[in-house]
Amino acid sequence: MTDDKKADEDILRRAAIDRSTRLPVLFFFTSAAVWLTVAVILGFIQSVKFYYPGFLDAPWLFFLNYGRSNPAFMGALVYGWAIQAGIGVAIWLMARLCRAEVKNPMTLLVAGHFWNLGVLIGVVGIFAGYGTSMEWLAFPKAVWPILLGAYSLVVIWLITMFMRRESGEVYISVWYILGACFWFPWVYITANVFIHVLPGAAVAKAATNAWFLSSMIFLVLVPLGLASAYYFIPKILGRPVHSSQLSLIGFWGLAILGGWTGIQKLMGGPLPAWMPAVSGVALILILVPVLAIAINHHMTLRGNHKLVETSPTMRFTAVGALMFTVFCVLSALCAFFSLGKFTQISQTTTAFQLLAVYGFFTLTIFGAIYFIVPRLVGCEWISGSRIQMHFWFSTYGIVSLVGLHFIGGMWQAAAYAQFDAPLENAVSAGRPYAIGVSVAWASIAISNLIFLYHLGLMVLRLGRRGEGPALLGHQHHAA
Amino acid sequence: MSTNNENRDYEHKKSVREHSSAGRERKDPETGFEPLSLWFFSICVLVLIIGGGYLGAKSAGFDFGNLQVNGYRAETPPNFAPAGPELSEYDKYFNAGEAVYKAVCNGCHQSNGAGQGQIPPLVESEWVTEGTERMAQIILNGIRGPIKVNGASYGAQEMPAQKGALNDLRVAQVMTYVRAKFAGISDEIITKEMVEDVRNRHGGRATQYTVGELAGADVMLAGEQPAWMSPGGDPDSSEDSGEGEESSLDDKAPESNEAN
Repeated sequence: MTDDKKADEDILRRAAIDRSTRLPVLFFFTSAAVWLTVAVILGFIQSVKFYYPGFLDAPWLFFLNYGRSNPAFMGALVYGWAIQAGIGVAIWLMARLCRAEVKNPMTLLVAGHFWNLGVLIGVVGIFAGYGTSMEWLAFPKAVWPILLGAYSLVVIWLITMFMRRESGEVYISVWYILGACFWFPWVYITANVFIHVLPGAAVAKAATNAWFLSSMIFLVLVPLGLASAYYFIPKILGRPVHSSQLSLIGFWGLAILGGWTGIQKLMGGPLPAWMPAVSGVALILILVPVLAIAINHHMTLRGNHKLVETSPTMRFTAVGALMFTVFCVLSALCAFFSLGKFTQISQTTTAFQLLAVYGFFTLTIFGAIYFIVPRLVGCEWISGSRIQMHFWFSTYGIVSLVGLHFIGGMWQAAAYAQFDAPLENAVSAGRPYAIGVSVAWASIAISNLIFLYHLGLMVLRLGRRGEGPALLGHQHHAA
Repeated sequence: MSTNNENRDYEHKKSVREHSSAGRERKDPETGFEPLSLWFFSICVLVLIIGGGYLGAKSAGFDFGNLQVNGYRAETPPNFAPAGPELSEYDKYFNAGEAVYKAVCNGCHQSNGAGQGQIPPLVESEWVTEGTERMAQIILNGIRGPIKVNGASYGAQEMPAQKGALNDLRVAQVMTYVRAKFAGISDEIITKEMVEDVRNRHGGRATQYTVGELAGADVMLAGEQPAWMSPGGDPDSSEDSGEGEESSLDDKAPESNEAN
């Protein structure tokens, strides 16, 4: 009887903590989902513009040309959606794993408003022609202090939660979240200072930019995504993570190696040869922590693959984790010159970025959102089939998107290498794939419109009041 | 799990319903302590060996000056054919003169050398076809006052000195260009040494010349022609002989691309 009572207390405590995170987390999720919709629509537009510039070519739509819609789409995807949704998941996970309520959630709301303001100024600035030409840093130069300030405010709140944690073991997800807390400011400040504030030689800027892009993936998006995967996979299975040693190897390996990656993209360029070499070797060695993480997840999941079929959270998280492994293995392979020469200057770079940001991170975060939101709004997702559609459109979309960009980019790079042939050949070599990419974007856009609508109904508390969660497949109850 | 809800205290009915999702959850995850398998370590060793080999092969001794990665060398491939024919030394000299003309002379004398208004023409002008010494004097120090060109009188406009703007090579190149282009004299070129000589003798002058002060129409600049001019006067026939031979002008010729 006392056990039951304790369990009840536990549930009430957990529910109270969830409730304390409701405002900021829902704010971050909703605005992130809106930005995601903006990003995928822009993604579709820029993909069409790539091979058919006459698309949407009205005079008042001058700002949609490829040179502006492409960086605006990437900015909206990375800063509007990915990091913002990651912050939402981080707040919720931190509160839950430290068993500490969010105190004064209004501050987090203010931080969220400033973050969105920064992204809005950034995207509009790009459209107005004030963008910079730096990948993932294309927002006008004035924007970065706003984003940094907003993120720092969130970091302070996360750290105070960590300081107020209940005693006991610090779970691996918390490690990753704390890592992302400190790594984002480090990477972001360094890149902005050396690119925008104290710019050096153009070559140094290009190298800094390549390092920044890769570090953002390995030190910000990957930790946030893995924090989520490390929580939800064992949580839904109700069993412990396979091995703490593997968790440690995975964490420290990533922490040590993540910041060395990126410059291999410029191999053969006018840089000292050791710089791309060091980045390349970091990408190869990173396979050790990646293997540790993959084994850990796989062994935790072993024998329970049925849950991947029924639980939306599990399915999104598992596919996201799989994409993470694929991303890292492909990155390591392309660090070798024989493959890398096809992947460094063509559409394949887009394939890598999308595989990391959408294939791994976004799918993982979708899984987290499907778990978290019902606990915040007090109603259930309306329809499992709608989640199912979201999953399949997203997965098919991103797999074909990455595949087409990758293979099309190989053709394109091979045509570039024909130095005595006209450059036009290289453009037309990638063209059929570029058309396929637009179809994939359309699929992703559909999936995210479904998601935004579904999430909107939940936030307005128009969700299902019945008992039992929305599941995939034919079952309607249990688990 | 949802059966928990029915057993709960009924006074909290509303909150229980709100917590239904929290209530059916499984326990928060913990860390397991399964041992690491030997396979994992074996694969790690393999990855480390590959990584070490990669670094050794590509880091080029961590030398900041070394930009070359093995297998990524900038060299002309065997079947590479450069676009367009190779230029002869004369053509390079001529083109360099054209660049100087476009940058400095074009504005007044026009690109076709016809002049405009009070600016005399260069085409078939006796000041171009006859004495080269006085032509060099005019370019270096400028000229003012009345002057007869092709039978017509000019004089309302002055030509400024160019000795500050153009070095000897540039003056020599533009003179060669003007003589070949507007007077058809292509069997000899003006060399840098010839202009140097004129500058040594007249370069200190502070004012522009008037017509009376110039050297006579028959005073030609003397000096050796470069080796690539020797076989014949025709610029086209000089192509084959010019290649591979060194001369002082040859060394300087590539500079002309940077002119202005």
